[in-house]
Amino acid sequence: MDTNNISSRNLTSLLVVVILCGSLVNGAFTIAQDTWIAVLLMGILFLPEILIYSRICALFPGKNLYDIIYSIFGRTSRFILTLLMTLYVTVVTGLQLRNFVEFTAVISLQDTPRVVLMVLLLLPVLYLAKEGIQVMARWSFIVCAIIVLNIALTILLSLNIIEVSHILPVMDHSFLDIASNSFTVGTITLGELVMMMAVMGHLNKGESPYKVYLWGVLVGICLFALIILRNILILGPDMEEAAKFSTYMAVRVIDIGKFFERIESSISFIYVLLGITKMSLFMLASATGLSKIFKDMDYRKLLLPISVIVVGIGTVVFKNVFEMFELAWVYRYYALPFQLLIPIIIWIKAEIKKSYSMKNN
Amino acid sequence: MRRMISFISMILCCIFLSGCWNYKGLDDIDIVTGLAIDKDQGSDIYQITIEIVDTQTSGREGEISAKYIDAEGRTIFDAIRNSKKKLINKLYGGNMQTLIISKEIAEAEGISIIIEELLRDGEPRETMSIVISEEETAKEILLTDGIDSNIISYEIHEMIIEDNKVTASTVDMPLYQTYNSIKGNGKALVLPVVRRINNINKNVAEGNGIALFKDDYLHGFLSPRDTMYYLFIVDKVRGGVISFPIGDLDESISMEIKDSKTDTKISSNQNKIYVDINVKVKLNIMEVKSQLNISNVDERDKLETQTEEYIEKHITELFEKAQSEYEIDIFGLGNLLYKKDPDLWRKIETHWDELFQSAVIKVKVEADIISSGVLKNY
Repeated sequence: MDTNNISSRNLTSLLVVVILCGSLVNGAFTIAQDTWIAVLLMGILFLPEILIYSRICALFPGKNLYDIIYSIFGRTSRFILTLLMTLYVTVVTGLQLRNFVEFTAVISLQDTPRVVLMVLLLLPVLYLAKEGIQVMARWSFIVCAIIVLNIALTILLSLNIIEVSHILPVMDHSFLDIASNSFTVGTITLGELVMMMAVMGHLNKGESPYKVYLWGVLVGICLFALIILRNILILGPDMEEAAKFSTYMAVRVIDIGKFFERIESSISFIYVLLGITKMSLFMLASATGLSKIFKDMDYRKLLLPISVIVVGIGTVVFKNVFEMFELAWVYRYYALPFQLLIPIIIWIKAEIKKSYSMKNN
Repeated sequence: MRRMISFISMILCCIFLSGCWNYKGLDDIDIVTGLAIDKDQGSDIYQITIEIVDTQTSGREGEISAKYIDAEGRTIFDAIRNSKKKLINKLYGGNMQTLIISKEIAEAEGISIIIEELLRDGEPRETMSIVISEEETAKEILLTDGIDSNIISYEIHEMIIEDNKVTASTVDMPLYQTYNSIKGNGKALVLPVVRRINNINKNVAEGNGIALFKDDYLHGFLSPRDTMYYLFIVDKVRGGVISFPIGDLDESISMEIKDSKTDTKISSNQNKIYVDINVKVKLNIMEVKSQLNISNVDERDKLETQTEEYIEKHITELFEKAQSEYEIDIFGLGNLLYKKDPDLWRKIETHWDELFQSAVIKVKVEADIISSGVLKNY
């Protein structure tokens, strides 16, 4: 775990993957043709939050979230904070897992038991988490490349069926509506970047966390907006809003001649890649948090028990698919303390501690 | 030793862990290609006819053939499932190409429930065609013989998607666009119409204009001839033939549309809607039954003017027919207004049809005769 040599490029791509993974729940959007504006607005809404995360990481280079908590808080509060963050990330992993299983079940494997899918999805996740952040970061760079290629290809192939007038009228929904949508999906895509702090300590010495966070958010948001725009222009606003997984449906419509039919399997493939990467990051974050609580126990030993808990959470987190999208709208309040409140507390405390030690020196 | 064990376990994994829980082999499924939906008058039982690929006889003589299944049910999904009672295999809808709906159903209960049922199912592709049967039942269309293919659903589907490039006599409206047309603000749904016709002692299916809808209820039909001018207004003409008499009684000319672009603008002023249609069309001269000398610039110019007047006249006539006869906005002009000014649209949405009936239309056609094919002039 003391590898401090991950390039900012690889960490940035891990960040992009976490953001794009959230595009699975784009069914939670309710604003039809203005969705892409909501995605761009997301970047602005969550910018302060992202800056706080970067600032915390920049204050303590070479340290991850839990190290920072342990170095600035007292005995009880550091225990509570670490426990809270660990619990949060474990629950989110379970949620994430269930989302992917529902996606698979809705689009193709209706009869396969959910638990089997969950366990099968978790196997590569466990492997990736066990191998550690270095492998994960390099792997996410490959995933990123595949995604960019896929987006470019699907956009090129759909050029003959897109209708640009589908995005009109622009800003038909009130600003409040759009912002509310941004907030909801933003907590899933950008807010969860709080967990990137758990691995930011492995960044190459001398490279700035600001660079990683800001570039990652910029690229991720742009790709997300492109995906949404592609879906709207292919399907039209009403169909796009009605579809649970509009990305999948949009790509189903593409067929060029007889050869380029059925490229939608590439979408499920990519979502699985995205999901695996994001979940392994979260598993790692969860395990390192727990290992901190258990007095620096080897985090690899904790992965298996956590994955059992994750499957358990994934099974009970919602009853049916309706709740999956309803939950997205509740999740924003649930996530607020972990994504905003706790980071702010850590940040303020860190600033005080830092300036205090500067004075002493 | 370690290597050996890991190698063997890898092989075992490949054998036992690969494959799919939901695996369905080709021999376990019946591939559905088309579906016709009818309803008995007075009863609430749906009657469906399903066309499936005959996998038993297909392939032997290099020819694919089709089989048909009849089924009944209180809902469409019920009927589809009831058909399983007669079959060994489960129906697979992923290759479904055409859905034929009888005009009674479209008129009496609307098609939006059927469309949503198909979209929810997830198996049928969003690009499948939906057509309205002009005959008594939808089944009759599905039971006609194909000319190019034994599977009539493929034939109808291919015919419809190619149509606007060749004849411009019907419209291509895939499933997902149908949904958009029903739900979209101010949009108007039109669907292709198919009829049964005799062709050398065989009953075949033929595209025959379009069906007009008010929301999702069938409202009327448009002839293939009118359909071309409809397609001009909504900018969907990519080919087709324009032929009209010139000069003396039995003199006429026939031209092929090579390309067409329509720019429709809508504006409102003091409770009156103004529609401005600009068509730019490029034509090839194909058949000249006249003394016309097309190598002469003046005569060509004259012909262009005549073509422009002809198309303008017919577009205007169709528009006025829609205003006075159908009394609804069949062109989806409301959607143009909504895209331009959503606030205004929400204000006038409820009485849009009345506004449409009093709309003022201005048509401007720019015809461009670009070639006379392989021949230099006549």
